[in-house]
Amino acid sequence: MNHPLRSPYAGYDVLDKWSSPDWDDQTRDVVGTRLFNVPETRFFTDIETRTLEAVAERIVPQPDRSAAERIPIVPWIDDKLHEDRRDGYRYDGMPPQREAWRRGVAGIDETAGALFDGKRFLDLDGSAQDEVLRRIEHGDPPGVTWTTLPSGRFFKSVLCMTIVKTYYAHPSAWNEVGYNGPSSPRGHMRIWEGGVDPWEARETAAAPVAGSDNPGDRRK
Amino acid sequence: MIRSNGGDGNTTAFVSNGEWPLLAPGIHGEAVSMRDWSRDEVDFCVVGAGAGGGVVGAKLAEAGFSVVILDAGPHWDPAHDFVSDETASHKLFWTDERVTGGKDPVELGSNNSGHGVGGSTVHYSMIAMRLHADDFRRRTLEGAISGADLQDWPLTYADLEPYYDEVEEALQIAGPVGYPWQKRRRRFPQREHQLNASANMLVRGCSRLGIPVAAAPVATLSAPHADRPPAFTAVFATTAARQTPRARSS
Repeated sequence: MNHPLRSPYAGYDVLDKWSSPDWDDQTRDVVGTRLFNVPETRFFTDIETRTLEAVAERIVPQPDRSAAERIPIVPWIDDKLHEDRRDGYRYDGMPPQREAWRRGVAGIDETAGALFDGKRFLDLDGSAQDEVLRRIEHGDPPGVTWTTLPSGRFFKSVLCMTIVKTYYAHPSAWNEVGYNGPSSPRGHMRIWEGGVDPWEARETAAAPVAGSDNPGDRRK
Repeated sequence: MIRSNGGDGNTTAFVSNGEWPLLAPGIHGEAVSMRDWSRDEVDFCVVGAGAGGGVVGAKLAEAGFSVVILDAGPHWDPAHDFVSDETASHKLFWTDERVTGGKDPVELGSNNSGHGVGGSTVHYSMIAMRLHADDFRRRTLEGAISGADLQDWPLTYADLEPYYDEVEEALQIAGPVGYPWQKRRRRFPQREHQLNASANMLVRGCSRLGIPVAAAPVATLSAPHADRPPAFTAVFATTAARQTPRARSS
């Protein structure tokens, strides 16, 4: 990406709803925990953590956010695995989640090493990292791990699913896409076509960036 | 040992030494003493308090039998425990691991059974349609289908109609005045919900093509009833809306 990602909902802050009738106490508990109680790493090793952070940066890049503003992703995956909170199902051939993540992260480094002179994934540049992930996604990556762990399934239903769900559970991501977050107990009133409740995000008519390839910039 | 996901989403284990009172997880993950039934003899024990077991247990109790119903997980209080948020609603899902496989494996998770007293009625889409009269005799209507063991039901729509009437009244189903597929049915207890933008688009498209269309009957209130407030429109209605679907069983 050659330019900063721009949201068509500039200036919208879902946290303005904090003390509105849209959020009750349990909503504030949930959102507050996501903002202020990011868990310590307890499951992944340091190298696994940094590798996954590099992977997450390719799946949901956050080049426009400072270190303090970035949406934490790996700590919540780590928390899920440490507590072993499962999804209720797994695909045939996919091991239980802790084993799938441990082996999958090792496999990412194996593929990186096989394709790029023994380098680790986190030492590659962005386009090389994309090439590693693309091979894993398409199901033909080099690496002994992938002879027993289905790589395409791991990429889509384990790696991407969890990273994307974690990213879009954060208020900063809600602001970015103009989603007005939990709506309880008030709910939505103007549910007809074109209806926008006053507390919802509205697109700002930002001037498009010349030569932009960001779909968000082409709107309006 | 009783294990449950407590209200905070963390797994809490209550270890019992096998003596009463046994401890069970309360709705906020706290330990609650279970009522001791070990010295009582009851007429029926029903496993699962969902749409099937809950009704069976209530009917037996109303008929004068003593009944114990078993269910797994907390007794949720939607007004205080539910959050209109996908991730926060994971505590409502049955997360014991199942393996999905075959040629076209089904993704489970947020669309599988509920966890808590009430079973799957803890989280579902609230759609409450009756089967169509023809659904009971598909074999007669369509004949044998290769590779499938298609059969008619041993019951007819007429056999079930009084029970449909009763349960729709108990749950106060909200549905349309005109229902094109069951013209001779009585009115739904509550009026239909306001249609949203995407539903209205479907209505317009179907009307233009001459396809009959009506709002789906749903088990959420469109107006207050007894001590239950009406439902409201939320984004994660399937996974997380704080509704009050349960009818009073007084």
